[in-house]
Amino acid sequence: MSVHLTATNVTRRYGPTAVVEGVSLTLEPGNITALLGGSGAGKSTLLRLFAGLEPLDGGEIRLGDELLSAPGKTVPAEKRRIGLIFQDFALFPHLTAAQNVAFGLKSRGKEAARLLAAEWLERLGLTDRAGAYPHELSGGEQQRVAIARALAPEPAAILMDEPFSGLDPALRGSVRDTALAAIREAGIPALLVTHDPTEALESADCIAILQGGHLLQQGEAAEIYQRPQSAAIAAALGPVSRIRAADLPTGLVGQDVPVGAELIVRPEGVLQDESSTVRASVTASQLTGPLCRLLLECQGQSLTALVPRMTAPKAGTEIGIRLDPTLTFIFQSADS
Amino acid sequence: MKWYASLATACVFLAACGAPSGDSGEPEAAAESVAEPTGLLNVYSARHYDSDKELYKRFEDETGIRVRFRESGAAELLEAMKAEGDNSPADVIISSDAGTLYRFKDAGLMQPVESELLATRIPEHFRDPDNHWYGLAKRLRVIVYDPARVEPEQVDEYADLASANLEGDVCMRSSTNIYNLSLMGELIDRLGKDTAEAWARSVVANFARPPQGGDTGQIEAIAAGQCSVALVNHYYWVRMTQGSDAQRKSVEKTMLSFPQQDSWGAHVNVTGAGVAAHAPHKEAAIQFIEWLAGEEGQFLLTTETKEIPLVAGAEMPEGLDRLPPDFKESIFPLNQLGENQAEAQAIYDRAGWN
Amino acid sequence: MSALAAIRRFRFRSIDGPALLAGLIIAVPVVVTLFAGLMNGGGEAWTHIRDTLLTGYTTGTLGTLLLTALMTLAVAVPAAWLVTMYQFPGRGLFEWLLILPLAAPGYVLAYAYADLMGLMGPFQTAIRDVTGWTARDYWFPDMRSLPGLAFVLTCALYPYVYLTARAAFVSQSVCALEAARSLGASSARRFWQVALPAARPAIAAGLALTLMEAAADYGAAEFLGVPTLTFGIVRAWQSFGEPAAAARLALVLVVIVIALILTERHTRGRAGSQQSSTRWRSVSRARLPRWAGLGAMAACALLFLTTFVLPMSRLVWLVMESQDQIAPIGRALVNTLILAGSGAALAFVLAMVIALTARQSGLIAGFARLMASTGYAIPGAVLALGALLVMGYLDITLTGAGAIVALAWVYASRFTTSGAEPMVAALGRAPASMGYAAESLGASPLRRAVSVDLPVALSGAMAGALILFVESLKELPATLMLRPFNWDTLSVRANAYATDERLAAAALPSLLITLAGLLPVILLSWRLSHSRPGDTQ
Repeated sequence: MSVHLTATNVTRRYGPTAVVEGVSLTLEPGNITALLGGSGAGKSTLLRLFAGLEPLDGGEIRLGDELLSAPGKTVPAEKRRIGLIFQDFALFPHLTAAQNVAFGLKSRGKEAARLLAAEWLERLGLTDRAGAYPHELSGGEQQRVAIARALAPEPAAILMDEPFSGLDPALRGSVRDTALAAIREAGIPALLVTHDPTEALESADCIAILQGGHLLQQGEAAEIYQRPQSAAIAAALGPVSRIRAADLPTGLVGQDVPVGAELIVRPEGVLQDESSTVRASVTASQLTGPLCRLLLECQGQSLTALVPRMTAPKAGTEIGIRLDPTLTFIFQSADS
Repeated sequence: MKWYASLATACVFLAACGAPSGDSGEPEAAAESVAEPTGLLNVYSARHYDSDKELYKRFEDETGIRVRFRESGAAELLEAMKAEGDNSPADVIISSDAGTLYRFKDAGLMQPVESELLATRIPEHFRDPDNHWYGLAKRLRVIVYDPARVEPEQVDEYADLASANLEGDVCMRSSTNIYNLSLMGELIDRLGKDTAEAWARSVVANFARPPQGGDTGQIEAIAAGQCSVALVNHYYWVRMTQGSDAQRKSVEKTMLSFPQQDSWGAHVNVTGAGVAAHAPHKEAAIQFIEWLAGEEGQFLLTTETKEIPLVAGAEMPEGLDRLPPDFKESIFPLNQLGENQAEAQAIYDRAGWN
Repeated sequence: MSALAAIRRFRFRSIDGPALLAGLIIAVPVVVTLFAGLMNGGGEAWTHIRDTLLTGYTTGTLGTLLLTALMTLAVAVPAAWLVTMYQFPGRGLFEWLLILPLAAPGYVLAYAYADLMGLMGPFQTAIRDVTGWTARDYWFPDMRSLPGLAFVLTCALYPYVYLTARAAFVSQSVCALEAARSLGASSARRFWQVALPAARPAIAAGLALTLMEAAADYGAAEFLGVPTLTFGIVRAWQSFGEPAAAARLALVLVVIVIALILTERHTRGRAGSQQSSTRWRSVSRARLPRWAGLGAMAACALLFLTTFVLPMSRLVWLVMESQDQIAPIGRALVNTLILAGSGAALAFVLAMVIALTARQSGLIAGFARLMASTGYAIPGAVLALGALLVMGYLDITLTGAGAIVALAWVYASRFTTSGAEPMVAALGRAPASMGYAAESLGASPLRRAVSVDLPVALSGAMAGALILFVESLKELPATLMLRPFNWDTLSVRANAYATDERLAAAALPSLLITLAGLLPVILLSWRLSHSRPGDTQ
């Protein structure tokens, strides 16, 4: 049955620079783990190490008990049974959708492969596109073919490298839902590399944050969103307002904030409360859909708030604000 | 876009360089050593021998007539002269094939020349009956064979090349070559078209390899053992006897057989010259051809080529003593070679002789 | 947009004049030849050629094309795969060395190889000397044969396929290969079922180029004694003096070339070609194990030695060995510079027009482009025939200015496309919005072309001019047919000496031609190694 895919203390260097250093990460079966980080954080390299596309310089990678990678030993990608999905889909341009899906099913025999491919296309709603070539498919269709192709051979794990970022934003949500449902159903460990915190939060069960080749924190998505272990992590998961302790507007925070610490608050944690004594002037009020983003100035400090559109104040007015403690974090400032 | 600019450029190039360009090989020499050139002579030659440049220079030195020459393929000279028409600067046309000389005559590019000297020195069958061109040196198309494999009696006629017992033993050069066309031109008249074509077919059946290379290549092929018989002009064989070590080694493994000694004689062709129809310097042209029929002209014409001088008593080029002391050569109206040339090519083509 | 709609919407714009003119200039020779071939009876010579030679010419051309195609694919595609996908000793060097054979025209290699492998060449002589055998006692490959011709043409032309295959492999979605790995495909399966089919359109394009050049070859076929259609065309004109018959033969040849182009189009089929990946990652070349690496190195070295070093060394040796037999070629050099220079000048102007109008879509610009690429596909002998026919109609002789203009015209008709390519590429590097910006500022298309696009295109002009000059200089059959009387070029001299069996004399012009040919090839390989996306090596 499905087993864990585990990296232990993995290091990968290009020349003298370590691109990934001492990373330990366990991918649980049936779970989607988002690997979140900016460009150059080492996300793709880590994925390639899992996939066996690159050798590692330290640590080890195991699938269950089976050793896949260790320094000097790399089970080649074609022997790992780990599925891959790429940003550019990487469909074989000379094969139809059905042939693409059947590519990895060679060992099943021709007829079985054909049936299985048809089954997967049906599951992803592509039955009527089976005979189309990749360039004849829309972006979303291509992505679904890529997912069917990766899942059809029943891989032991699946790795996705920015799989949705090439899609039209309007399409992205529905494609993602279909895709991730299929992956969850397969009950195998899944890694989703992304630079988009929203996507990580929306799609993943677990989130691992990578920065500069180091793993900053990993855990359940909600947990990590609500209890980030550092300012950097908090910032990595979405927009925040940051205020140093010394500059803190009086009365904004109930508790004592140590000197040299930093307060971080998410926009939805800044609440409009006319009973509050802390006043802030609205410098701008921007509509973002159902919510309205307020740019506030409070005793010389800038804050961003998200409030329901219906109740949003106009620019130039003054409002009372308070902070939601569950969305407010105080860290000893490391970067000031 | 000034697309016409490049056309204009081309025209400028032309103005700069497009003037008749076939200057004498050594223009300075011509300009300086002959203080006062008494005349000018334009030679159109289809021969390519270094010794010809020496020949022109000697003529210049002796007569004071400055020689300008153009060397090119016979067909191209012909086309060029047709194109130049009345304005052609050509005075003398030299070609190493009687058939080609005939084609110049036939195209109206030559004029008759009455010359006592030439009439007495050049045997009648080596000149044009209407005196448009005169032969100056002759050559024979003979059979070369490997004495280790073939007896002389097996190859004493052209017909022998078609004999079934030489199957896989015959090497030939391409039929488009003028020497083979010329031979076929004679065979057509001697044997009739049908027999000549049958001969060509049988020769093709005897080929050891597809036609390739030149005459020297055929001799080398025999020496290397690829085949046993071939047709060559006598002078290629003679030149090899004086060539590099490798060439001498090759040629000494072979022998020549002069065919048809008991019948019409070995096929002969000539290098000859005529005066151009619109020659601007007709006197000098006649003087030049007469000079070529003289002692020095005959020597310079043949010393490198190893052709045989046509004028009785002329000095033989070195190495010709390797040929049999006397042999019978075919006496044949040489203009026929030109007339039959297209037919000859057609026969070879039909026979599959590439 | 349908052609009909385009015609209906057609308006004559300022830029269309030069484009129309360029298209017509390029188109005339081939159109005239085809017209003459269709309309004239062909005369008695044609009857003879049709009855006795046509089959041989046609099978000669088809056989040569087929064999050249097979050998080229067998050599060029694996070589491209090897240098793109694997790391082995000397890989970086071979990557561009393998392009060099493109510098030498087929006829030059034919001279060298016929001499090397001939009966009196070093190999056969050594065999006979060592063993005491005669030529009948052993088998040795015969260069003067159809397979020999195909071999020589493969040596000269395989880089076309090597280049396009290599480009396809380099730019292929590395992800597709990695996806294939993750789907359990072995390296052999990845090559045969992923990389090769995906690269197929590119390979087909390279092969089509190779075969067009092979079909256009005159010098090698003539020297090696293989009857082909191009050889037949030149011969029909030269020895039969019958342009109408030659035009008929040209018709057959053009049909074959068109079939080639259609086949190439067909291979693209419905299957998509290369998807250009949005993200580049260097191909992580697999390091070959020691012995396999040495094997790969040996294979590349063998290929380079066979196709370039060996024949060129033979020519150099011939020049060194028999200096007394070398004829002076100064005059031919000057003629070459003038003729190829005139051709390149005309072609350059036309190429510039094509390049500038390439960005302005329109009926006329499209026509000019189509004509230019058609000209490139048509063998030089056919175009020369067209020019000869035109000159015949106009009663212009082959002696004076007319001949130079005609030859320059044929060069331009054939090579304009190859000269326009680097200029189009240069323009492509500038954003299209630049042109729109100019037009939004009220510039007419013509003014836009001259004041905006022209300066950009000039950066590619050097390369274009060089390619045009060198292509013209290497050209043989058209030069042979059209050069003004007494205007032998290097290629014509090389051909004349070689057919005269004066190989030592032919070697020097041959080497000079190759040397000139190296210039654009080196430029090409330089551009190649500096414009490789994502590849840092």
